[in-house]
Amino acid sequence: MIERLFLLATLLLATACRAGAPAGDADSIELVLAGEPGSQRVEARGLPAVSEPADGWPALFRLSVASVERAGGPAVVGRYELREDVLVFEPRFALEPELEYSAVLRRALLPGATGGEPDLVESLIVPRSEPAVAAVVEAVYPTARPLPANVLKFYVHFSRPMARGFVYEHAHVLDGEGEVVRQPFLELEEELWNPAGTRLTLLVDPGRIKRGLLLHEQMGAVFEPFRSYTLLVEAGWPGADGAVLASDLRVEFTTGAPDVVQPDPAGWVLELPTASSREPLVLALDEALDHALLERMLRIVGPDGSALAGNVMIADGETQWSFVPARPWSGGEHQLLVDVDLEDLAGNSVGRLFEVHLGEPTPAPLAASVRVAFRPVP
Amino acid sequence: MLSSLFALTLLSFPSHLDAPELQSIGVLAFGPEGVLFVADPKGAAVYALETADDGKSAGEGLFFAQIDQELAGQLGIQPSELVIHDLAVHPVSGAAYVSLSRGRGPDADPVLARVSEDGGVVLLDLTGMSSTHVALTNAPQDEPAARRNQRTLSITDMEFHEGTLYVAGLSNEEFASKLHSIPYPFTELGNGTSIEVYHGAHGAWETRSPVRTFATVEIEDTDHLLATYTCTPLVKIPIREVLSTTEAGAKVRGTTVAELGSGNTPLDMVVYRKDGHEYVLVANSHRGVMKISTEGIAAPEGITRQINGTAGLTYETIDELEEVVQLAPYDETRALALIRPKGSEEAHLETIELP
Repeated sequence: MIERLFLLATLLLATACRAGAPAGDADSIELVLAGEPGSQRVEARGLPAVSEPADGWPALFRLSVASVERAGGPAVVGRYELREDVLVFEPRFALEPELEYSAVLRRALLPGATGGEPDLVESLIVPRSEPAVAAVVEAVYPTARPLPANVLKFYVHFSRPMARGFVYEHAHVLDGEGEVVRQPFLELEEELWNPAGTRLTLLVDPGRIKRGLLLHEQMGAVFEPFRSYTLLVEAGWPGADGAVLASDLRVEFTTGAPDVVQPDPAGWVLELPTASSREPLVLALDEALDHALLERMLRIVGPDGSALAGNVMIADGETQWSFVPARPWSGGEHQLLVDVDLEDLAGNSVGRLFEVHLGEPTPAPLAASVRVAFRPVP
Repeated sequence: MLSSLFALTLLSFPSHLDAPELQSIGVLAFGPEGVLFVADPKGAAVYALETADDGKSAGEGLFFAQIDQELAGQLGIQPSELVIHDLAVHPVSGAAYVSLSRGRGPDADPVLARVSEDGGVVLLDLTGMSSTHVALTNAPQDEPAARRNQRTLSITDMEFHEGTLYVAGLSNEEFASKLHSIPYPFTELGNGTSIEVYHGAHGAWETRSPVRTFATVEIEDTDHLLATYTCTPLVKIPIREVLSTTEAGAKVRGTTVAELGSGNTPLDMVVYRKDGHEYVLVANSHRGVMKISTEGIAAPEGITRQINGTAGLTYETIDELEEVVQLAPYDETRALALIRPKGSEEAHLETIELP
């Protein structure tokens, strides 16, 4: 009796062992995501002794974007490494969060397989490491009012990086009746973003602004003088990490006459700081100027000729520029350097009008910068 | 003997033959001996890559359906997250090089792919490639008072012609129109001059305008750049004038030869000859493909009178090529096109007969 039990036990054990031999047994192989967010890999664990098939590792084990896989598309590109019973796949680029991937192991290609085994398929989704935060529009420039009818640019500042490719679907101009103005902006494939993807430049179609161009004749100017308009930034604009702009933003403005006068530093009024203080140097400009260019085209140079470090602030509808130095002002002659490419809202720069009529005399070209000397008050 | 030969070999290689370190990727242009120029707008630089592409084209053209599906699948993203920037065809192997971004955010990975005539699509490993590079001039100065740099240069087109690489750029801040001419091989010393390009309108007004796309063309034995602007005129500029303007920021005025009218944002241009005449094929973002005859382009005064409708050189719209979003020269009689049907995410790549 005991011998029979022993025999039975041995037989059972032997059978169990043979059944446990992983010839494609789904219970013993796992397809999993491993690694840190941003550097995830996919692993096929619990494999029997495998070697690379003639067609390469992807023939045995591959990862695809699930929707692309369903449409018959290719596998994700990456490197394979076999570490004992784990085949590791490292994609060349980080996997996208919240996107369904499909990992497939062809069990029919494993050693000991008969060829009829179904594929082992696992749906994998990388969780987002931080919840996506919806962007809001923080500011739109120019804030000057009214705007010249030939205003050339708007800058839209977002609180978070935005995705490219959606500008012209989500940025619109409405006229005084709420009707959409057709194609107000120059539609560029590249779109004009700052490196961080948080500031967008909208360029009003210069072809419609410029006099004498066919486009101007055919479509007319974008803005007529002495009218009301609304710049509409629409909700739903995708952010770079998935969350969309939550609500519409409307910026209303009225237009004045076209601006055909160049900005002139000679007309700026300087409010001088006191020497040995860190009071601001304040400039009252002769007209509203381009917000982005005001941030970098004015520099202060000290008596020793070196540029001063400090903080720039722009206020009053871009008609006031002030500078607070990092260190107290010394006495002595300082210089305000004005880059001649500094533009007003209609693209007229210190150096040149936006449009020059060739029939009229043109002023001599300026040097690269205009210097305004000043001394802090003793 | 061997050591001096070795030393000589070392001397003849340009210095800094490193793997490219692209921060972004944009327009492409082929140069001499299979060198591929690659623009890096975010890095404000242009790289010259050795493609080491020795194949010989079978001349049978190229076709790849659903190229965006293929590229997105290999990259591990959805096709909607893929942005294709430009195409260029290797003059010898006939392979198509595609510059693209993986993702739509500011930190999207720059990718260069190669589509070969046998239908293979490979994402190139840039770390294994040799390159030289040049910084584009006019990058803003480092200023202690300035905030973190917000200015970017969008490089809208590039073309190599007889030893010089021409690069057209557009700023996201000042309304400038820089055209850079950079000698190649790139040298340590000069990174070329950049000039301001202006155009006239009916002879009366003159303004700056960013050049959008351009091509080199010979007009009465003189090399010219034929350029489309962001404000619709088509302009010719003698290359000699571009190269002789050595003062940085100096201006060059183009002669308007045609006005392309409303709703046209030109994307690409291909200059070709057919039946003894010369034409320019311009792909536009809204109005399909235009075939412009260069007949009469030699007239020196260009457009000086106001003309209703389209002005200057005659053109026709090629209806059959309505959905072309990228166009690149392929050979004497064909161009390579990226075609994307309206409202579709699908795009396919194919060689088309030049009309």
